[in-house]
Amino acid sequence: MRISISKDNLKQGITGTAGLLAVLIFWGVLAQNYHPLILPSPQDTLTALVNLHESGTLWLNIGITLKRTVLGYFLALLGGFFLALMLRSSELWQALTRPLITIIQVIPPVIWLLLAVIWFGIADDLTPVFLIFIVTFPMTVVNMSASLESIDTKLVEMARLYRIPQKKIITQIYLPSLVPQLISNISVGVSFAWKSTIFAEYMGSTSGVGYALSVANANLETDKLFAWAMVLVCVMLFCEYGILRPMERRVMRWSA
Amino acid sequence: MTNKVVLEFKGISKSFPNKNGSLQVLKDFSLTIRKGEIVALVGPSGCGKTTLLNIAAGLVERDSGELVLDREKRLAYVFQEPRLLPWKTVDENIWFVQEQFLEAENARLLRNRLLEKAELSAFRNAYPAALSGGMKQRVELIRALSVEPEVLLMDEPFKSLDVALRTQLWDLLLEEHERQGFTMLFSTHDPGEAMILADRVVILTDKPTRIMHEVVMDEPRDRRLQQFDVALSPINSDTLTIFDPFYSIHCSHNGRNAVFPRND
Repeated sequence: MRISISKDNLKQGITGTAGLLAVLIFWGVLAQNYHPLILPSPQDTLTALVNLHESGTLWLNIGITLKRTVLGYFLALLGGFFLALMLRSSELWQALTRPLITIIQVIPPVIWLLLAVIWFGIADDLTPVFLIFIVTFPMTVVNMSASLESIDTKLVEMARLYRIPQKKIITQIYLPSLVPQLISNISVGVSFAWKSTIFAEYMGSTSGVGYALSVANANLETDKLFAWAMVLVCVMLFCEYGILRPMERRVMRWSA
Repeated sequence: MTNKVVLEFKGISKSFPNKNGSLQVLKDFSLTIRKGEIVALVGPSGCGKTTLLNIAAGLVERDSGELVLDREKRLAYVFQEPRLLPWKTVDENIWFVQEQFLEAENARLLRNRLLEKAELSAFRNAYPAALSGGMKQRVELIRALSVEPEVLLMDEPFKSLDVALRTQLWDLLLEEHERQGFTMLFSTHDPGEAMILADRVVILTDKPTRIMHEVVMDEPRDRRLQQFDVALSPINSDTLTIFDPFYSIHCSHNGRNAVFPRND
């Protein structure tokens, strides 16, 4: 894969960095006028970040939160794929499930979270994973259904003619057809999932980044809140540019 | 050639819905094809050649009539527009269908041989997006041959190819026919191509399609190009003209039948 940095990209990068620096300076100036409990300075935030790292809670909590996000979102993707497949083959199923999916979708996540806490308690993994699943599942089904609609039926026809079994048609025609849209859906979905995990951990768990936030909040450690916010931004950026984009380039290498 | 019937259309009718209600493409159409026979369908554009092939392939349901074709028979279809999986290389595309029928090592040998003959060896690891239209069409043909089919259906398989390549693929196809002995039904716009490849040329009318004329090519045939060139030169004496706006049938003086498009 060719990696080239065009003039435009470079210009964009420079302007972006300049913008970021301006915000940092503004933040630093502003912080001088407020108590660190209200607005910690960039230096305070950095110190808090280093402390988090040194105490070992940084990576531990990121690991826990990531694990939950991946698990919950993966289940939603898998479930979404199979439900979309089922819906494709039956109009009855479509009619039956459509209202249900809409209902799940319009119920605010906070209600699901409260319900999850009632049903599963302050469970370490179950409550966050449930919330991620329930928040991302409707979106996944809708997106997967749309992607399945776009599959080239001529290829499927060809495969049937050569008596390719259904399982092979699913894994070698349906799935690769879904990949391009899947990746763009994932980059939206994963950020939903990530936010849901933290939200769920904040109220319904005793570990993870969300829980760490709730502790920092309770102890009025505003610098730690800021440090965690930085970490969350970095993780999402890494996910998008470090994992998803390169993955897209890799799996799409066939598309000339 | 044995006389066993492999493929038979018996009084087949088919209409497609259109703006004015429905369009009758086939009406009471019958055609019998025997084992090992090569039959060409020639006719005006949109006359139902593709529909006939699709009915034989089981891709289109007929409205009435009977289709005789043992579904256990191994079928291959060369589509008019190549249907290759974009995310698989040339080699993988062929293996994708071979896997159902052949053992891996035999499949690989056959695949390699066919790719070699079609001058595609250098592109075996290329994705379809990197191939020209003609190359994709060649891969489509090779894929069909590579399953060692018993019945081969082809819908204008050489349409987008230049003359040199076309001739080369005719040779390849006839060689494989000799070796594999499949029964073959194909459509073409090119009467010359039909004459070179087929044992029997079936000339179709416009919709609703019926058989206007059947020309049985003489046996043994010599299908090499130089012979064809001779046959192509018009012979005025024994010209038999069928009343049709698209084709004239000429009989050459050495007894060979030939089908030509009308020049006027």
